Amino acid sequence: MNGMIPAISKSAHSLSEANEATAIRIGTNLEILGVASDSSDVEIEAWVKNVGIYSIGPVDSVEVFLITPGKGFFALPYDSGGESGSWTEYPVGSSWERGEILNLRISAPSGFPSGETHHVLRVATPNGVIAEESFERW
Amino acid sequence: MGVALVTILMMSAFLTGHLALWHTFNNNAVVMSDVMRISAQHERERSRTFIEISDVDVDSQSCMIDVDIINTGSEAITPMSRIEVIVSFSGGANESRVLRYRRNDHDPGTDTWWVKLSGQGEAEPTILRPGSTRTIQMGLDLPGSSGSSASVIIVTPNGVTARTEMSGIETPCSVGT
Repeated sequence: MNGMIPAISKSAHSLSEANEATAIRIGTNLEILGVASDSSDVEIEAWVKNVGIYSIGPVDSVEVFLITPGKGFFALPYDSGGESGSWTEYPVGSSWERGEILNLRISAPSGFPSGETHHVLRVATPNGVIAEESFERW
Repeated sequence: MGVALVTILMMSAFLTGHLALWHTFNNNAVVMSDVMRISAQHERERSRTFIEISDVDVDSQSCMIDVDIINTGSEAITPMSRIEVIVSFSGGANESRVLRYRRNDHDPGTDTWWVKLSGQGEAEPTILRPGSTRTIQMGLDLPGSSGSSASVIIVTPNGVTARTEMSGIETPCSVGT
């Protein structure tokens, strides 16, 4: 009997936590509005809007990928200093509340096939909601 | 007597456990139902929102761009001040930017946008009703001498976008100079 009540309480707590995580995942959504990529520059700029019903964060835990179909797949780390092959938000320290646009500045990694025209930007939130957008190098 | 007491104790423990779990399931169901309802409503609004850019007019002398947008969906877009306007330029001499909204009666600032009203006392100036058109006017500051083309992305408050490419911008130019 002594062990039963805590076990029930623990189960109920686990269920609540799992339920909350699922609810947040259902309510998380993002939309890549545009990608600006100039062939003379290694920087790629993108604007991503939080179109869900929850804030997304922490921003530095967002995953950013650059994909060139058939040529390469780059998982880019976050770096507020803008190191080559990384991404940062602009301005640094921006939050990403409901309805807000996050400005991503991506420094293309070495080995990125910049001569190719078609690329894909993939952004994933910390809880695994994904948005993708194809773009062309001008 | 002793057996009855133990039975009552066990029954009450089971009942407490059952109530605790029922309470949790109930709460979780309410939370999930709320999230599903709000998300569905949000997505329904998004799926009924469409905008199109019908015309673009570039005035390089005053560094202003007029963009006519039509609400081709079945949801009113309101407030218009929460529309986002993004301009990006090719060539790299001028940075891409998100323009700030300003009210009509405020001083024009660089890199801002506002709703161009057709006349004083216009009804519902901040609502773009289905089927109606409004002109968004942008005042830019483009110090770099770069190519004459740009992309403009108009984003509704719920994240629906319309995009257009334009050319004929003579840089450098700045609004108000």
